[in-house]
Amino acid sequence: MKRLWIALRGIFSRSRVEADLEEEMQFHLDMETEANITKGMDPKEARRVAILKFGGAERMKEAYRDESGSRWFHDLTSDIRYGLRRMRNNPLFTAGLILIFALGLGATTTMFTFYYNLVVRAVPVESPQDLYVIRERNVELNYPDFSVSVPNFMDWRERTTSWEDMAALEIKNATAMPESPQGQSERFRAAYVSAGYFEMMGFQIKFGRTFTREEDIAEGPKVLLITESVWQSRFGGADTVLGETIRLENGVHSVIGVVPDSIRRIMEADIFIPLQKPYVDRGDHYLFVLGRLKQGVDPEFAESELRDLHQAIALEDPANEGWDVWIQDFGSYQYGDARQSSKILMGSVILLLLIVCLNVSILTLAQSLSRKQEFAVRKALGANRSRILQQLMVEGCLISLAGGIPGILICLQAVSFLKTLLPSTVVDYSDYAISAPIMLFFFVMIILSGVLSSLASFHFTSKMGAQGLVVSSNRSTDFQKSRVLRFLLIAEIAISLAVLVGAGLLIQSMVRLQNTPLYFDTEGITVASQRLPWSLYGTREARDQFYQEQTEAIRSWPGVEQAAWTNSLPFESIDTFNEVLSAPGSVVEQGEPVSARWRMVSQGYFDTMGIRFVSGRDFEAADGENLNQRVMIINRVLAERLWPGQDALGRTLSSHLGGSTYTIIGVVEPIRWRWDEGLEPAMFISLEQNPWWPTMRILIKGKDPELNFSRELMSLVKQTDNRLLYWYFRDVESIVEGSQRGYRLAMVVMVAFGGIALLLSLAGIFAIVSFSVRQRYREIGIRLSLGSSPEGITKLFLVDVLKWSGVGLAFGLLGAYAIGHWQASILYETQPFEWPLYFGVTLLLFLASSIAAGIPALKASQMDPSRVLRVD
Amino acid sequence: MAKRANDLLQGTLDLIVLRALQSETRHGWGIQQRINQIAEDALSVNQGSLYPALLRLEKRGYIKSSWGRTENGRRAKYYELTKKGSEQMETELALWRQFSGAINLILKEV
Repeated sequence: MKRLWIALRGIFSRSRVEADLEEEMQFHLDMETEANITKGMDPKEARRVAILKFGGAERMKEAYRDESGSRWFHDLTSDIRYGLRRMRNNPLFTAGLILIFALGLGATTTMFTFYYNLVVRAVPVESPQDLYVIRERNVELNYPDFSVSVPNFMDWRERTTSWEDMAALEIKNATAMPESPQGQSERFRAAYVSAGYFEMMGFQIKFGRTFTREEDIAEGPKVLLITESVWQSRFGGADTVLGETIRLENGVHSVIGVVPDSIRRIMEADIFIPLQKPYVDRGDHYLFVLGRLKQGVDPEFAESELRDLHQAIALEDPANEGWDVWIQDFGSYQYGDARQSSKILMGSVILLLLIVCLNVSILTLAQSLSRKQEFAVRKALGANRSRILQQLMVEGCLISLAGGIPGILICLQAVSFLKTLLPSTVVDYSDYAISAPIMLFFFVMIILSGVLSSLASFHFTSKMGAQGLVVSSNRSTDFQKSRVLRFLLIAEIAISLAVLVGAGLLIQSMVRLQNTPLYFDTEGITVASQRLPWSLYGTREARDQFYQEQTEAIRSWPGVEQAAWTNSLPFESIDTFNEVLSAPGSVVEQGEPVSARWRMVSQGYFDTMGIRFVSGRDFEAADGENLNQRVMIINRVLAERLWPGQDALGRTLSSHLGGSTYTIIGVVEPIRWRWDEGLEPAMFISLEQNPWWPTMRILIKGKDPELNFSRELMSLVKQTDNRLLYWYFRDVESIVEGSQRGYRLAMVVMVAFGGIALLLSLAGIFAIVSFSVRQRYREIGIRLSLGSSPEGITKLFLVDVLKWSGVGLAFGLLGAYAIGHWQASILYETQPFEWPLYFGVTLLLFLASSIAAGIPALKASQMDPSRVLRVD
Repeated sequence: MAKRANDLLQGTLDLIVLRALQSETRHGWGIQQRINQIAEDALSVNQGSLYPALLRLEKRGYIKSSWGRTENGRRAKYYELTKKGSEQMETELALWRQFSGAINLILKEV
C-alpha cells in the first residue's frame, strides 16, 4: 500500500517530490561544503570539490526517478511533447493520417453501436437468458415456425416441470369507442396476455396491480392495464385513473394499473388485457408463447419434455397430429436476422480497421525510413528498444486520438443515417445513443489502432544497428529491400480485395432483389386499414354491406381506377396458411399433405393488384347472397399441385377455413409473397361470403393530384359511422421497399467499407512508390545520365510494386471466398463464389493499383538527371 | 548474471544503510559520513546510489523519513529505522555472517 502511495505520489505530485529531492541534495552539498571548509579549504574551493564529489545531479535524479517509479511518466510527457512537435512540423502528412484514422474509427464505432444494441446488450427483461419463445411447427405442411393454440399452451403450462412459468399473448388492434355521439374513436395496439405475463418478464408496473390467474378465465372481469403514454394522453396523467373505464368493442373495461412505456419497446402495445380464452380449438394456432426456464434446467431437456407431452396429447386429440414443438431464446428469436447482419458487418468493419492500421503503418513506415538518422542517433545515445517502442507508440496514439474526434462525429452522423435503414421488423427498443460501453470500445480502438500502426515502424527501426545506420544513412532502404513494407502492402491489398468482393456480393444481392419479378403491380396503390368491431357489426349482412358501400364510394372518386379489400398484403408480417383437408380427385386423397397460403379478398382485388386470371371468374357481389355455394379462387401453383394436368374449375376443396367446402370458380397466376420463397400455392376466399376477419386493408389503385386519399377516407368513414376509423396509411410500393431494408442496410454499409478500403489501398500504393522514388533519386539520376530510357525507369518502380500487389490479390481471393461464405446468410439469390464478380473486382483493384503506382513512377522517369543528382 | 551481481551489491548497500541507522536517526549526508567513518574510507558510498537506496528502503517500509532540523537549525530530511526494518536487518545480518563466514572458511582452506 505504501509502495503504491509513493508511486502515485511520484506521478501526481512529481514537482513536490522533486522539490523535496532537490532540497535534500542542496542540504547534502552544503554539509559537504562545510565539512570541506572545516578541513581548511577556502569556501569557493570547498564548494567546487563538494559539487565534483557529488557527481551528475541529473543522473542521480534519473536513478531516483527509476526507483520511485515516476520515470516512465517523465519519459511519456517528453514523448508527447516530441510527438506533438513532429505533428506540427508535417501538417499535411499528419492531417492525412488523422483523416484515415477518423474514417476507420468512425466506421468501427458506428458498427459497434448497432452490434452492441442488437447483440451484446441484453433484451431489457429480467434474466433474458432464461426466457424462451415456444413455437409449434409442422414439417409435413411446411410450417417451420407457427403460433400456438390455446389448449396446447394451457396443457404445456400445467403439465411440464422444466418451466418456472409460461405466458401467452396475442397482439391485436382494438378500437376505443367514443363516449358521446360527437366523440372520436381511438385505435390502440392491444396485447391480450395471460396472467403472470408481467411477473414472468420481470416488468415493474408503475402503479395499480396486474391481473390474477382467477381473473384470466373465459368471461372473466373486464379489466385492463394502460401504458404511461395512454395514461397521459387519455387521462391527463391523473392519479385517479384506477377504476376509470375505456369502452372497447367487446365491452367496458376498467383500468387496474399503469405500466411504464419502456415495456412498449418490447411488445408494441398500448393496452394490456387479460387473455381470457376458453380451453377449445386445439387446431387454431394464434398465440405467441413465452416461457421462463427454471434455474439450472437444460433447455434441451425442457424442449424434449414439451415434445413428449405434445406427442402424448396427439394421442388424445388428433388436432395435434403432425405438430411438433421447438424453442429458441427470446433475444435470438426476436432480433435474429438483424443480429446476423450486424455480426457480419461488425466482422467486416474490424477488417476495415485493420486496413486503416496497415495503411497508417505503410505511411508512417515510409516516413520513418526518412527518420533513419534520427533513430540511429537515438540508439547511439543509448536509447534501448523499449524506449524507442514507447516513443513510436506515443506518436501513433497521438495521431489516432486526434483522429478520434472527427471519428466520433462521423459515427454520430452515420448512426442516425443508418437507423433510418433498419428493417421495421426490428422492434426498436433502443435509441442507439453513444453510451458508456460504446465510448469504452471507442477508446480501446483508438489506443489499439495507434499501437498497432506503430509496430511496423518499430520492427524496422529495431533491426538497424546504430553504427551501421549513421554510416549508411544515405543509401536507399526502399521497397525492394524492406520486407515489412512488402508484407504490409500484400496484407492491405488482400484485405481490401476481400472487403470489396464482400461489398460486390451484397450489391449483386440487391440488384437481384430489385430485379426479382413480383408478378403484381406495386405502383400507385394506396393502402389503409379498417377494423369492424363485432359488437357494432355483428352479422354477415351488416359487414358485407359496409365493405360494399365503402368500395363503391371510393370507386366514384376522381382518379380512382379500382378499389378492393384484402386481409393482408404480400411482404407484410401477417401471413395466413391453411391445410387442404380434402379435395376430390386430387393428390390429397392419396394421402399427400398440401397446405396453402390463404387470403380473404373482395371482388376487384385481382384487378387492383394486376394479377391475371388463367381461367374462370372473379368474385361477385352476388356471391354474398348465395351462401349455399361457397366459392374459392386458387392460384395456378395450387391447381397444378392438387390436380396436375387437369382443369381445376368447378372442383371442390375443403379446409379449416370456416369448415366449409369451397367450389373453385377461378384460377389466377401466382405472385411473390416473400423474398425467401418461390411461387407458392395460394387460395382466396370471398370477403362477400366470409367477412369475419377483424382487420381488413382497403387497396385503392389510381392517383389524383388534387385528392388526399387518407383525408378522404377519414371523412368518408366519419359520414358512415363516426365510431370507426381508418389508419395505417401506406402504399404497396413502400411495403415492398420496407421488406428490402435489411438487405439494403447491409449493402449500403458494405459499399461504404469497400469504397474506403479501395481508397486507402490506392493511397498506400501511391505512397510506397512515391517514397521509393524519393529514396532512389540519386540512382535514377545515374541511370538516366548513363542512358537509361524513361520507360526503363518507370518499369523499374512499377514491376516490383505490381508484382507484390499481385501476390496480395491472390491472397485476397482466398479471403474473399471466406467472406462470401460468411455472408451467405444475408445474400439473396447470390452464391458466395460468383466468378464474374471476383474477376471484375480483382481487375478493378489491379488497374487502380497500376494507376496509383504509375503516377509517381512516371514522374520519376521525367526528371532532369542533373537536378536529381544535386539532391542530398 | 549481471542482474544477480547487481542484486548482491544493492542488498549489501541496503544492509549497510540499515546498519548505519540502527543507533540513531540520520539525514542522508549523515548516513554517508557514518558509513565512511566506520569503513575508514575503505568503502565509500556515493550519493548516486545512496538516495535511490533510501527511497527503495522507504518503499519497502524498512525506514521512514521526515523533515527535521539540524543542530544549527537547517531543514533536513531524517531517516529512521522502523520495527520491520530492524527485523529485516537482523535477518540479513545473520545471513551475511553465515555467508561471509563460509567464504572465509573456503578462502582459508583452499
